[in-house]
Amino acid sequence: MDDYSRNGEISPKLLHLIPQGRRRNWFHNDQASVYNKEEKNLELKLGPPGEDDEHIKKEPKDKTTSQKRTAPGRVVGWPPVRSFRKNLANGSSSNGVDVKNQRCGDDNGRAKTMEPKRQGGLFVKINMYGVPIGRKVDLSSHNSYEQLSFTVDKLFRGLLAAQRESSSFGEEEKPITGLLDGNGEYTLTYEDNEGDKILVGDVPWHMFVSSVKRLRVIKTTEISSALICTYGNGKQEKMRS
Amino acid sequence: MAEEDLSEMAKDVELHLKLDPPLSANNKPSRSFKTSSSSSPPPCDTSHVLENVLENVLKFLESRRDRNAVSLVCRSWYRVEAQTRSEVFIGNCYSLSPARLARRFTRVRSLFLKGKPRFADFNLMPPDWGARFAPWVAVTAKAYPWLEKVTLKRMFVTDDDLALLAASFPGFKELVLLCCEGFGTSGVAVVANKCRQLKVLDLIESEVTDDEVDWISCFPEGETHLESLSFDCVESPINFKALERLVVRSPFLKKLRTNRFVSLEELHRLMVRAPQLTSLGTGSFSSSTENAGQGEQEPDYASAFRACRSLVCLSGFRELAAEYLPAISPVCANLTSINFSYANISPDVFRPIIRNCHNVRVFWALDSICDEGLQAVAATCKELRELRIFPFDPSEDSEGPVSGLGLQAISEGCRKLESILYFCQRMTNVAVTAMSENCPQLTVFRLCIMGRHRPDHVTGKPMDDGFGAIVKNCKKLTRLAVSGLLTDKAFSLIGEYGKLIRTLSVAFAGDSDMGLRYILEGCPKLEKLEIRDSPFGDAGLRSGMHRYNDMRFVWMSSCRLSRGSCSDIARALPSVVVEVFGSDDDDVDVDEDNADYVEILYMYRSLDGPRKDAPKFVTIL
Repeated sequence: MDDYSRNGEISPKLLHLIPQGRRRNWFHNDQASVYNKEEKNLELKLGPPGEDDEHIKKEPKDKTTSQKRTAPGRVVGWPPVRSFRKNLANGSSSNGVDVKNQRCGDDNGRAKTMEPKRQGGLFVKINMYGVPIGRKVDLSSHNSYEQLSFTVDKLFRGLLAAQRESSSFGEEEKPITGLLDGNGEYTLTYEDNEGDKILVGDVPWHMFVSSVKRLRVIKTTEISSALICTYGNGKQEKMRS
Repeated sequence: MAEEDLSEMAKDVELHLKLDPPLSANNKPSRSFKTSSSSSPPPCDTSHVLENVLENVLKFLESRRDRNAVSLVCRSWYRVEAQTRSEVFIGNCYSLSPARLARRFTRVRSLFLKGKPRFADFNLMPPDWGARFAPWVAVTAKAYPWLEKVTLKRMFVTDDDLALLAASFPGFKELVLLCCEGFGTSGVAVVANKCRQLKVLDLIESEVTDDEVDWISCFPEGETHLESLSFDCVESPINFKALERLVVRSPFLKKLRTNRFVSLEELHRLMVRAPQLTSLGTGSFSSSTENAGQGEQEPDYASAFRACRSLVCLSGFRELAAEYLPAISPVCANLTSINFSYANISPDVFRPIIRNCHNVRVFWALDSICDEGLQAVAATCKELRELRIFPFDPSEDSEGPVSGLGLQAISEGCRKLESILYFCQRMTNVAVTAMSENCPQLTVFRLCIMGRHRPDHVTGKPMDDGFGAIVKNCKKLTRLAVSGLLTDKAFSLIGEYGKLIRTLSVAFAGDSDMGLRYILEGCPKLEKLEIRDSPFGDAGLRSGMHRYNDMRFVWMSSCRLSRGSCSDIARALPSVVVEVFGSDDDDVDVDEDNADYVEILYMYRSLDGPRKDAPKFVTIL
């Protein structure tokens, strides 16, 4: 993205834009000026003349970031976007967020945090090798990797056993263990918001929750190939092994 | 016809035909009266036959412009046209009274009424300004019992109005409410329940209060005639089971636009029951907390889309969970219209989807797709006619993910483009000029550079040249909205080259009254002019005196107008209603010094003089 260059030439005539008239409630924030700091004198103010200085002092400095341009004073009806289009920044799901383009103007951590948008739900998909049916896990109801591992076992134990019924002998359900330490037949991995495939368990829990996009349970023997190759969906993975 | 009616009709005709003084009241209202300036012999009895013939011919004429032309031929044609016009379009509800409508047109089946001017959408107009549907429904209820279709835009509609509508028109078929307000789910429930022939119920971008009424359950049992049901703007939960049952018993349903309270799982259920849909508003497009999770197998969404072989239009995605977006892939190649403008979709998620959308003609999205996303659109959507890019973060301060790069890419890839609305933070004259050269079919060009007075960000010059190129090269342009740093020169070019422009939107632009003069002394087809926060004053306003009778309306807010000039206009042009008011609806707090200043001027032509329902804060000069 190009940086915005502020070399605009402003006609001094614009200074006299202000009509003699009723005071409006909006004003132009000094720091949000589209002009250089040096041209502050020429800054356009859309309010009655003679009250300029007062306006500057009154402006709320509510957002303090390192950027030069903080939140501007609000102009009524500008930009001309209808109100129902205005709250997208707050209400939309964060799954599709292109983080580098979002600057909320608030604390820096907010842009990256994937908070549950609806009450009580941070659901991520989880697939398991050998099981055609995907499931969903609500991470917001978990506090640790052990708890997650337990849930995975609960979700897939029966399904896995059902898949194995087609093999030679009927097998009773075997618990799925060792997902986190590499000791079990299966290992839990995840894909993060940058598309990287990572073994589950290495980073602090809350960091994991904030970056995980989906989970996969793979065969422990396939760890190196699964994590190196970029793969599409679960089907491809099954075919490869 | 009574003499009074004749003189009323004569007044209508006079206004349209600019005739010599109207007939005296003594003329008999028979078929043999003369026109005032004609010297030909009076028509004989064959005129009766001719009128019948005309009636049968005119039935085929639908375009209102054609019909307006027909009605000006002579009184006989005027009368027959009036009797055969079944669809009436009224671009400004205050341009005539409901009574006049009923007097002129006798067999109306469809009515399209527009109320408030567009700037009301952006809170520039105080509430309770007007545009009430009530007087219209009251009159049409008596005059047109066979009315079938009502479309309202920016009108104030109450539940009572809807109830009266539902009770008065037994054959009522289509209700479309665009950008309306004043009613709630109770009004909707009454329409659903009482209009047994209802085919279309479209609530679009309207404010609907939540009266906690289960309006979906109010549709009568049994098979319905529903073809289109749109409620994506309704911000309240609905009874999904009832909706599902409704869909099942609506075999003619082609368009269904659900609101964000419909989850993906629920959407799936609807799609499976209505694979015949051509237009689908997908609701939230994310999993609900109840259904998803540990207990359930996930439905096969892609398969449901695949089964909708007729689906050509997709919208919704109100709370998009991006990992589900690929489910729409089976229908991408068939889509002609996509609305992603509520979905914060990144370029990475977007590109694989749009790659298959070769047939898209109408595309709305958020700028979150970035210039890269626009390049992807340009590469694939060769049939694109209409593009709208809305800002995810509509402030003047945001980063701005789209720019001239995206605009230029679109212009190079989508040569058939006719209409564009583009919000951005920065723009260059080069990119705008490129579009003017690459897209000769443009009829609508609306560019909103969100930073006020922002110049070309590469050269630092005003955006005059870019917009100048647009008006010079896009010879079919009928609608233009300008932004960025603009001098009077831009307006001189617009006035000179904007020969077909009917609607012009100006904000924070221009240097002096000359800017306004250029427009009013040029742009011969101008009908709607909306200006805010620009240094245009009384001299500019006066320079348009010769125009205002021929325009639908002029809006000027926060300019440099004084009451004196507005009064002068009102005095000189009795057919123009001149309203002045402030942005707040408190009628106090008028400084002595400022009493002369006009904050908002809204003037429009009218056949019936000033309206009687103006609120206190509005002064009609």
